[in-house]
Formats: sequence, structure tokens, C-alpha cells
Amino acid sequence: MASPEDRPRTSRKPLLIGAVVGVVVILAAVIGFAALSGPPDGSPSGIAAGELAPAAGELPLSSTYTTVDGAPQDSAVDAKTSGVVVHPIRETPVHDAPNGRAIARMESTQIGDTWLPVIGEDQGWVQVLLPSKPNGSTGWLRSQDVERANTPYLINVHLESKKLQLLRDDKVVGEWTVGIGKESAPTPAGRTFLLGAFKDAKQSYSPVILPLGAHSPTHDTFGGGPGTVAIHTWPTDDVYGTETSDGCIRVPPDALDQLTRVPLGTLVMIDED
Amino acid sequence: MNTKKLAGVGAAAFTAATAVTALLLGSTAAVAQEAASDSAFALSASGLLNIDPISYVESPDGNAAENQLAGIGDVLGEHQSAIGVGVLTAEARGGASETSVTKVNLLQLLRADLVRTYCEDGDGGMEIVRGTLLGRDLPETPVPSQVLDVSPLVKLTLNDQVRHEDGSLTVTGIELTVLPGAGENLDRVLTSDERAALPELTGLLGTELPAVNTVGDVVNGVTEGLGVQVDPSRPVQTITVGSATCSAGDGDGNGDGNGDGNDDGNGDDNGDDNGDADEAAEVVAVGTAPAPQVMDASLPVTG
Repeated sequence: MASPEDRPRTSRKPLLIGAVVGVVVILAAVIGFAALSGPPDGSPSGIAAGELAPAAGELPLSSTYTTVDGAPQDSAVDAKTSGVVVHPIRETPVHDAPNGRAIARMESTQIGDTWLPVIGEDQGWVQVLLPSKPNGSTGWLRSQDVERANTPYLINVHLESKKLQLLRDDKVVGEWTVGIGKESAPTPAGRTFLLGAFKDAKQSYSPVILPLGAHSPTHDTFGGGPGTVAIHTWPTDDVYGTETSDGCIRVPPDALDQLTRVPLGTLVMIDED
Repeated sequence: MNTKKLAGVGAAAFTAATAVTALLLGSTAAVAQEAASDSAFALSASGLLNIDPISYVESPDGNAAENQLAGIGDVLGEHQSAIGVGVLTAEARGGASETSVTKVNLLQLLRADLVRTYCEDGDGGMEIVRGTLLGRDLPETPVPSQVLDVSPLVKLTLNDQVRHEDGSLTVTGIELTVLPGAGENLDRVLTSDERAALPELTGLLGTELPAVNTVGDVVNGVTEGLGVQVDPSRPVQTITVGSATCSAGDGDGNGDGNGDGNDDGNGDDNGDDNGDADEAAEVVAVGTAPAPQVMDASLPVTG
């Protein structure tokens, strides 16, 4: 046991120490009891408005805002999975192979909780699709750093026929004619996933936007964002069945209603059919 | 600036010097040391009050190291009732570390009979006994990285866990942050409830907060009230209770020590398992994934 003489001491700064106590007490009272009920109504979520560059030597974050170099490419873009999705329960490195090189960091929340589809498995490791650029990026996470669940859903998007199908347990439960990207800004084909669900007070074209883990192949940035492709609705129905968007998939309101209930991490398979 | 090293307690392996220093606002955070595998400390703070990690221990060679301290009341003097702790312990050994703090009282905000933070074989967690925040009960075993966020004013993070590149894990028990990143939200208008609460509270500062309408006004008022410059881009104060770091386990999550023999697989497995539904089926799914929570956010998409 340390004697009093051994205990750490500080230069007496009663004003400063008292001040911080005062500040905290004031702020505590200001915030009232909101702390245990989450963010106040209408307050912004924890989503980052952008992504800061990582400090020197620090792994980049894998998010819709970032590009991760060295991520293995998805080599089975037309293969379904068993529907397993994972949620990182802690910040964890993304590796380029089981026990391989760390190439990025994955956080437990991005746009709400992070859920990623599992496309491969090795002992103690899961391979997931990443939300970062380039399209088709994958990475490996430690199994002990993720919570597992199953989604019964699958979303198919057929670009040529401009159809979106929602499947549950391999049965089509909804099919809609949708709008896709124009020739100069096509909707990218490949295997991606539902990354989040959010309301954006700065736009009025859709009550909810469902960003995917994919990005426009032609817009490196768009409207101040990183070119994230999303599913959302549109104020006029003349866009459905056309190639008029800048990469997003525009769906009728009733489709959005159903898709908003589909778990994050659910696979979205976009093909040229 | 006064600093004084703690004498080692018990184990000869106690190597870390612990210092408590009150620094002027704007100084760099005192907690800058790299996380060492198998290490722990009980308490630290940065901001207006800077406290280097107390009861810090590490086990670089796998040998057990431990430290115990019966409070730091004399550090805080008349304010010990505002930032109070009882017994602080920390211990580390090969592949494991743990720290506990009794009778925690953080600025009258957060109280707990015991805060225990632990890490073993690359996994970890925390336990809070009779913990309350503003009088409301805290969970006894918070899920990892549970955030009680009233940003931009106060943020409380419980059981924050970060995996490092080498597979080691750091578990931070409690982190209380005052004005976290207020600079991003200075223009937010205070709610009527927030404004109504201000007058009776300004007396605690011994000063007035005139024309308070936004978060920025609060920051400015605090600046003037304290007579010091508050940097709105940095937290006014951060207090950490419990940090435990441990090296990776065998990687299979079973804690059985069997390992998986994959250490030679660097770069060899890229893409081999892509799309193999049978492989993916090896993952034991537990339950159905939840429906998404629709967040308020601003992310311009491709329209």
C-alpha cells in the first residue's frame, strides 16, 4: 500500500479544478436525464459528416467515405450466401486474409449499427463485404469481434429489365419496376449490401434513404458525398423503368416501405439481366 | 508543475511511474503512452485536470505485476468529494490484465460501488456494481462500446473495446467526456429545457452566462466564467476509469489454446472462399438480424 508520501501530488489549481467541477455540474443539469435515453429527438445521429484522414501510422477506417487499398476483391459476385451477417461488437482491424495484413479498421457503428454480409469463413475468421471503395472490396474480421445473425432476405436488382425483387427465404415477396443510373453514371453491377437507413433533413425526394456498400463508378464524389449508391424513392413516378439517376436505385414508395424493414447487411445482388 | 513518482507496491515488476499533474488548459493530453500488451491502469484524466495513469502496471515478460492504491484524495484536496475513488487496483500477467476501482464518484455525475475492467486472451469486458449516472442505474455488464451520448455537451462511453493490429485488445471501462468536440455543434440552439436550467446553475460558476442561446454561447460563457480559454474543438475534460490491455488469444474464440495453425496464411487465402455458401454456413448464426433503425443523418447519395 502506498504511503501518503508516495501518493501522487498535483500543483494546487483550485480555480481550475473547481471550474471543471462547476462546468460538469452545470452541463449535467443542462442535459438533465437525457443521457440514458440516447440522443435527443431530432438531434443528429452519430454519423460522421465526412471522414478525417487517419493519423500517420493509423489504419484507415473502412466506411462509405473511404478507400481501402489492398482489400481482396469479391471474386464470386453472382453467388448467393447463406444469409449470415455480422455486427462488429468492438473496433477491430480488417485483414487481407486470415492472420494476414491489417489494411483498415472497422467500427461497430457507421450509419447506425454496422452489419456486414459474410461471404467466406475460415477458422476464427469471417470474410465480409466492405462499405469502402473500391467496389467489391472484401476483408477478414476476427470471429470473436463480431456478433452473428441471419437475414432471411435477399435483394436482386436486374439492370436490363429494371426490376428489383425482394426475396424472403428464397421466395419473391415483392417485385417492382425501378429507375437506375443513366449511361454516363451507371448503377454498378456486383454484390453489395444494405449499409444503413437514414432520414436526411437536407433533402425531400425520399422519406428514407438506404445506402448500399457500393459507389458510383463515375462519380468519385456527388453532391458533397462520396458517391454512395443508395435505394430510395422519388417524388414522381415517371422515373421508374428509366435510366435517369446518377447511380441510385429509385423505387416506388411501397417498395421502400418494405425495404426499410429489411435487416442491414442483407445482400443486394445487382446484375446486368 | 509538481510530479511525484509512486513507490512500487508489492510486485517488483511494477515499473510504471505514476504522476498526477494539474496543467493549464490547452496542454497536450497526458495519456500518450502506447498500449502495451498485458497492462492496466485504474484512473486517468486529461483536460483542465490532467492525471497520468494511476496504478499503471504492465507485464512485458508474462510475469505477474500488480499495484494497489488506497485513494487519491490528497491529490484533489477540497475537491475529493467531487472526484472520489476508494481503492484502486491493477494487475497484469501473460495474456491477461484487470483493474478495479471502488467507491467511484465522478464530479457528482457518475457513482459506482465498483468498476471492474478486465481483459484475457484477447477478450474482455467490464462490470459496474451499483452504478448510477445522474441518479439513474447503469447496466451491470454494459455491452461493448455502449455510448450514452448527449453530444455536444457530455458523452459517457462504457466498455469501449479496441482491437489492435497485433491482435491485442484494450478495454476502457468508463470514459466521461465533457464538451466532446463541441466545435462541430457550436451553432446548435439550446432547447427550452436546457435554457431554463441555466440561471440557477450559473451560480455554481460564480459568474453569469449572458445571452446564452446556443452551444457556442455556453462554451463562451464557460470561457469567460473560468477566465481561461476553452478550445471548443477539444473536450474540456476527459476522465477514464479502468483500462485493461491484453495480448491476443489463440484466435479461435474458444479460449482452448488449440490455435488454428493459420499463421502461415498471409495473403494466400485472398478470395478463395468467396461466395462459398457452404463455407459461410459454418458460421453459427444466432437469431434473426434486427430490422434497421432509421437514423437522422446527412449523407449525399447519387440521387
